[in-house]
Amino acid sequence: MFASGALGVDVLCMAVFLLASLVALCWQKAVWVGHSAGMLASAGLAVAGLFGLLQPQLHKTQAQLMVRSSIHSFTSIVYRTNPLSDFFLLLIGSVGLLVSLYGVGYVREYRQEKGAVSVSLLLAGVLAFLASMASVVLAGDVFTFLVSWESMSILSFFLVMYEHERSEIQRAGFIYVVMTHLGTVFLTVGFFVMAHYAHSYQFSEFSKLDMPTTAKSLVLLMMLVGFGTKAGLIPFHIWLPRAHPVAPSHVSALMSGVMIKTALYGFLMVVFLFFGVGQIPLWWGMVVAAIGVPSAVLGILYALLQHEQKRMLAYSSIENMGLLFMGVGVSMLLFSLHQPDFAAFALLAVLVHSLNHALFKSLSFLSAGSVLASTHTQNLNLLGGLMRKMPWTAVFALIAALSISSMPPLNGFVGEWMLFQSFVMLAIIRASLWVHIVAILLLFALTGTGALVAMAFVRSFGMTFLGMPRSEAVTNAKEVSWTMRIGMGALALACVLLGVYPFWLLRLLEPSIRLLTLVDPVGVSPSIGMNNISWLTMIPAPIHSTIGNFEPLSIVLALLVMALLSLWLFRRYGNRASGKKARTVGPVWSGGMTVDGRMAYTASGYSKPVRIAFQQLFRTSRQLSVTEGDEHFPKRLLYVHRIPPFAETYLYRPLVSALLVAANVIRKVQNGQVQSYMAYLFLTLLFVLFLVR
Amino acid sequence: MMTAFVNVLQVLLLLVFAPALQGVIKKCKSWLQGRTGPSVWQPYRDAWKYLHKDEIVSEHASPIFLITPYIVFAATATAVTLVPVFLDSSLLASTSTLLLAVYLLGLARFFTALSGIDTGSSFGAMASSRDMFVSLPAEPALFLTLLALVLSDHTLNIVTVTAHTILHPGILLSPVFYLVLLAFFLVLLTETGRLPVDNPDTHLELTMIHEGMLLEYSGKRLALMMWSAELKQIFLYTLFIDLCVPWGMADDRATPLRLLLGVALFFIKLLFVGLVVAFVEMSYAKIRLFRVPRLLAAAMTLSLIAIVAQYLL
Repeated sequence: MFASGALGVDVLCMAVFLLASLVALCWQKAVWVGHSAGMLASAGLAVAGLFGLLQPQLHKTQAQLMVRSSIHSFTSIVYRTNPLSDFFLLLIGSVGLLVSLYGVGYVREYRQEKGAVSVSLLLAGVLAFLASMASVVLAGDVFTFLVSWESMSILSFFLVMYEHERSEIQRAGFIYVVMTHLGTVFLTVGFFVMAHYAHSYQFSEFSKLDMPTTAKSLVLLMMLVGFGTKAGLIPFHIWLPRAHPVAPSHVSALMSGVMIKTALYGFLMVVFLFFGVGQIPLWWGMVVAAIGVPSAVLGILYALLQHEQKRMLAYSSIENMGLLFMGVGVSMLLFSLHQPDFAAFALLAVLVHSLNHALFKSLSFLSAGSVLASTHTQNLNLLGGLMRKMPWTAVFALIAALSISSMPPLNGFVGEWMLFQSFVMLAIIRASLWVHIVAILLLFALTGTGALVAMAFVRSFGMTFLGMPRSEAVTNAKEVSWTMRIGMGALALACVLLGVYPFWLLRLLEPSIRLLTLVDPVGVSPSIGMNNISWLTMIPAPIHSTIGNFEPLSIVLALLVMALLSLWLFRRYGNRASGKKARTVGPVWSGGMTVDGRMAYTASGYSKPVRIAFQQLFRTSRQLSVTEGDEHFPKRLLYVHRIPPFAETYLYRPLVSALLVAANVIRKVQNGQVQSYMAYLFLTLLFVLFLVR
Repeated sequence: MMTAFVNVLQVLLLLVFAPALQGVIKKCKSWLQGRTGPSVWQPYRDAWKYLHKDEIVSEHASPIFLITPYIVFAATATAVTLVPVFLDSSLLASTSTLLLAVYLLGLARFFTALSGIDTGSSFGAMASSRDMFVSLPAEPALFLTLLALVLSDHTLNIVTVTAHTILHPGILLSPVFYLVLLAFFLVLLTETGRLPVDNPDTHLELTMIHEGMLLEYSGKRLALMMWSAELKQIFLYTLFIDLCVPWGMADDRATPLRLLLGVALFFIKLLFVGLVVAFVEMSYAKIRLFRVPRLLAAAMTLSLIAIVAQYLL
């Protein structure tokens, strides 16, 4: 009964979202009602999800909420929960809560610019968007899932188009809506094929799916395309780096942090719940892992070269989704190689990393949004030195950057560590030479992206917050309002806490893992071969895997002790005796000239070595022109470099032009002359007669 | 309790002798070049001098610049607590996995790179960009080499791998081992900022990488940054010794005399690695920045061959 109670709370929260959305639409004075109802409902979702994970035994009584329609058995609305959807509800609810809190302050900017009506429209959109995401993970049959999926896509499209006056945003929105519908087509077909074999549209029947492997493989590929489009996997990613940056920043945070995770949810649901872990062909895992690799590597390489902060973050999301799908692929490989314990560990790594990514990516987007709100630019080449103006935002952005770069002891490292361990597990089981090589290549991709991420985020943080201001935009910057700071601060705190003490998260995920893999997660973490236990293990909470442990608390302690040691050495022996102040502040040396912002290193310059090293890949075009002064004594230069997006150039452009050529050919048939249409009629008649003869 | 005490001693040994290793390498290099060179103890004198100097800080610098030395030192020193030195155990043995060790160095690198940008000086930012660029191939190369060494042991724990290697001296006969040794050495040169990748002796702005980021540091913070760099060097050499030539390490039941022998052997090995490094530094010129990835690609290829060969053999 409690389970149905939790489901009731979930549905109630969705209803509250929708109601609040309506209120915001109809009654523009009461924006606060919308804001507070949104936060309340998000908190409700998070609590319900948490409760579901803490009390997994309650799920045994399959709670379903069903609204049957009289038209057709297909068009019914069914909601259900299981530990997997609980986990994603927790993710949606907690990030949604903090992002909504941030949004309260953030939309003020738009109120001055675009008026109250527009702000309430934005609020209504965000609330309905949150409801649709919750509805996706709660959906219990094909119809509900697809309708929720479509509403999520369309609502996010509206939110992307919020500043529709600008032409590049119109284009971004157009590409988004086309791509997301292409993805949905694949999903729809895939779900109908499964429904055909399950003789039902209910997801509860799908778990007893009896399908030939060929059909399963076909569905798997469709799901990979369908969910991959939403997840932004390369080559289906082209909408993501356009659409995510142009949405209002708190919406970007929701899209990058939460919405693309629903694709992961869907994929996990289909592969692990519907198809089951019993018979996974080896090549499935290979394909899934293989599609993750280019997303991870190319995603972060392109991120490194962006000079717009939010676009760079969007590319970084592609990279992280790539890592997650690599993890899913490895888990599938381990299942087909009959290593369920290792596979469960890999899947645990995927879930942990997806929550971590939701936290630090939304934090990054929110801090980028604060910078944008405060300086009205997100061009890294024009920022700089914001740490003094916006110290709070800077600290939160630093935590996000460290966490994304998976620096210990923050939460990003926990996910990276677990993914690394599980990839190594695939290597050490030595199933066959090819699996071994695949594992090594995956490890290579994982570690290679690690270094690239660090460079990308040193660049973006450093160029935004450190050094000298490079333009006027920075000089008038102010710290953002306190609601925005609380929203960011809570996310930053979560990043730190989950890094220092990830243990409770792992325990919390046990029911989800048990549901997906049928493996008891206690078996996931036996500590074998670890006789060499140091005296510091008296501190509890290590993460075990069969090939090594990680004790975040010991590391934090060691870091603190060492930092204190160096401080003490300075106090004891350092220069304090002299009466005058031991630290003078002076101008920086630069060959005898006065330094100003124009001389400072730029973000484009920072990533130039990478651009040169990967010239073959990027094919940058560069233009240098003199805009003021003459050729020999230029006063002002204009330097433009452009990196052509590869997927468009090599895949989509040719495809579109082929389509246009085909359309041209077909157009000849449709020539507008009555005679030829009569001829077509006659021919058709002949053909039909021939058939029925 | 005895083991814990010796473990702390191991950490202190590396902390204390890190500058000396730098001095020794400099001395060897000078001898090879036919100069007398500075004393082996010069790094200590430098550190003491810096410690008592006033500091001057760039007016553009933020608190990041001020806290970086502490974070860099703490991260590097924590990495040091993970590795066995002369006893086949370490202070944080139970958590000493490879990824953690490398990412602790990554944390130090992250903050060093930030501090380079923070001063507003173009040299700092340029050096920071170069350092991160060199790390792009260096980090995966380091991982591949380490994996080539540990994969056959079925664990990623450095201490366990070391103990395992001590028990199996047979790997010395395997040709694969020498491929990895070479690859590891190339990565070692890169990661410690040695020729042919970076020149630790020059402050010429066109060539410097690591020194460029420290350019604006002075006084006690410079001392700490230098010490951290030396610590990183001795840490990586120790890791090299642990994974490639750990024989002669004492175990839990060792007598004090055996421990002393372990210490002596460790110093001999360290000295030998230092000598080889000095020899390489003497014989090669610095290569162009954009050639560095090729050098590291060679290291990666060697490791990849080693990994595949291990599987086949």
